[in-house]
Amino acid sequence: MGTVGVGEGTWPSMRTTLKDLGVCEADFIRACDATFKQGARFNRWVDGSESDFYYHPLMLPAYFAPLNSLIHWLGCDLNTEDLSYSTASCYQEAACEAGLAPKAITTPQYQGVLNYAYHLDTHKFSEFIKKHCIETLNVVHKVSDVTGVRTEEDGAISSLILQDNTELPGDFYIDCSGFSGVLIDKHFHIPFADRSEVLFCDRALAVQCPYDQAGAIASHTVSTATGSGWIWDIGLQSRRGVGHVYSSRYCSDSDAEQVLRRHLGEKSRDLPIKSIRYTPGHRERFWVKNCVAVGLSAGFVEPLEASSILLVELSAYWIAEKLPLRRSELWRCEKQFNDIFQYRWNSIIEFLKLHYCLSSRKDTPFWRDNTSASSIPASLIDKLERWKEKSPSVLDFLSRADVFPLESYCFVMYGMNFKTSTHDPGKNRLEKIQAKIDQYRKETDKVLAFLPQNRTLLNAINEHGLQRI
Amino acid sequence: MTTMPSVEILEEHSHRQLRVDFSEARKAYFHRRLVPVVISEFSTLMFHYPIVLVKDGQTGKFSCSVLLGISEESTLLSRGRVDDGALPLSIQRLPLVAVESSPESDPVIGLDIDSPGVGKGEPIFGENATALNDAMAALGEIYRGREETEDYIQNVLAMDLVSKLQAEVTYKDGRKVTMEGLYSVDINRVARIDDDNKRSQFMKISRYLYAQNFSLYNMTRIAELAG
Ligand SMILES: Cc1cc2nc3c(=O)[nH]c(=O)nc-3n(C[C@H](O)[C@H](O)[C@H](O)COP(=O)(O)OP(=O)(O)OC[C@H]3O[C@@H](n4cnc5c(N)ncnc54)[C@H](O)[C@@H]3O)c2cc1C
Repeated sequence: MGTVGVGEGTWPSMRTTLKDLGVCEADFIRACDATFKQGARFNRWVDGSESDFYYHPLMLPAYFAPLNSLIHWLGCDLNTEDLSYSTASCYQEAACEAGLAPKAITTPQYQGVLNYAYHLDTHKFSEFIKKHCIETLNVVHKVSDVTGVRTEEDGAISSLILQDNTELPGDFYIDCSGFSGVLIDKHFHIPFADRSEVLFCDRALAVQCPYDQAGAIASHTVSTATGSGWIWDIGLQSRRGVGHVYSSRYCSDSDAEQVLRRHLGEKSRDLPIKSIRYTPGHRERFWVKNCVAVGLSAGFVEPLEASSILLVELSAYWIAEKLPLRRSELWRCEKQFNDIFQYRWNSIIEFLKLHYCLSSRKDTPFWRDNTSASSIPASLIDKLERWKEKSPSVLDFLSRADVFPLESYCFVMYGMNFKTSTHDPGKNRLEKIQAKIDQYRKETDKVLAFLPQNRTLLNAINEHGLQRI
Repeated sequence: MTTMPSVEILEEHSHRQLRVDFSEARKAYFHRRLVPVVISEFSTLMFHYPIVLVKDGQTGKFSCSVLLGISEESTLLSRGRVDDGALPLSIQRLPLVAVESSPESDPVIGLDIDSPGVGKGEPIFGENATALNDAMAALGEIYRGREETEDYIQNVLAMDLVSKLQAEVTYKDGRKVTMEGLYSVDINRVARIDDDNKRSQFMKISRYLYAQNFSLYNMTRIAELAG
């Protein structure tokens, strides 16, 4: 049985994960066809026009003034160049537009001049991690299909029955069997919370696309909205990974394929396309007795903000940190884990919906329905109502389980022209903000001049590696 | 040191008439901020300069250098703070350069004819024999020392003894300059070495490590350049 074989965008947390596993960053980059990711460029999400785009960079915005004042400045006459929220407050957008890497060859491994994550080849990555776990971390790897489960009196799993009829006993089980959910679904029958009323996309067509020539590699994910979904475009070292995520309610498979082929151009005509169907949503519970579902077995929603591998990392960290010494204590974990990850799934779904519900696109039923209040979670409606009156604040993000911070919300909201009522901080203050922004843009030029092109750096890393310090 | 357009292979026959002022040639490096060194010279250099590790801008690889100043305008050498007896080999060998024709064969001796010392002073193959021999000896020591210096760097990295140098200099006018991109060895970390292999590795290079560590006292001399 193969892996799902898609999933190429990650979060900056991947740097910590790899470092903690004892992986050398240059080995990972070489083995996984990996590149740097500094955020996402959202094309045609706001009004659908050709020139419509905004950025969700990975770097935190610079602080010039309280958010209210900055937003007021963005809308006032002093903003003569009509700078957007992200252009004014974060130079990562300029770095991405110029195809620059987030660091230099002299920057130590896992450190960045700018914050970054990776794009990677998921097949190569799973092989790489497998090898590292077996050879370096001494993990015992047994390959076989799980065909059944033996249980104890209380319903906990006592052993797995394998294809060759042998049994594999254990104390604790992690169901990472992907969409088949061998333990969480087939054995425990934990109901699935279908969230397609909020997030309409339920299919994906994925294709691997060769580069025309060894030119620039984008150091951001490009997400281009279509009539009934969106297309991801991710640049690896040797190829691009492109895919159309769409809603089968609004678009036929053949139309979706046509949209994807048109996006790729004539050269894609003969490239094979992989098709994936899924129901957006997650298990109602993830942890049952001595078993926890991690990865696609726990759930899946569209990869708009690359949250799936992130949830795997968060789950793995949680389990490693909290697994109790005594089996009798597992029930405490069960409750805590389920509460926290329930919250996390909700907050991810809410944040993804934000990208849709703020759009002013009305060109297709998909976009019209996406802005209808009945499809928007009440918690999100409530926040947006609040933030119309007063800009969002860190005090709206007090839970440590929040997946997307205030800054991410701001990049998307103000990138999508969300209107917040502001009070005028006065000419004096506005001019001070102006001066700070001017100064920041001068610094931007210095930082950008220091950074190499993305491909130049990747080539240098392949050849020379990266220093540990 | 690779062949450059202005380098000629040194030959007694064709360069019989050539005059070279060696001390003038050496001055060409007096305004460099960093000069590469090999470990065999640590024991002399440690009394005069900070011996640091720096990264190559193209490859990120570490190499050993002495730090001569905060900027190129003002260095220990341009300000006459070090006497000639304590010049690094990379300066002593000037204006000679090693010319590598192929990776298999040994390099031959070349001469940088653009050097400010060339065309002045005494004939290179006459009165100047001692100076020429000294420069050739320096060149030879650099060449022989390259590999062991490379090994030394690999060892200190493998033993996790390299640390970033936090160096901030305050000028008279209050201006502060942080010197970026400098690394050195952190001798305090030696106590953390707990495996026998690493301990014996450490014993082999310890005298260079201590020399490099000692050399950091000369950071005060660098700071004085700001005064
Ligand atoms: C279209 C699409 C795009 C995506 N893009 C991103 C992205 O950009 N960023 C991101 O973070 N994530 C993304 N993901 C999610 C990402 O692919 C997954 O998070 C990641 O691959 C981990 O999946 P998994 O290990 O849970 O499942 P899989 O990769 O499907 O692995 C499941 C494993 O279980 C094994 N298995 C199944 N049944 C049995 C059995 N009975 N016995 C034994 N073994 C069994 C299989 O052989 C397989 O090895 C995307 C997913 C899809 C569908």
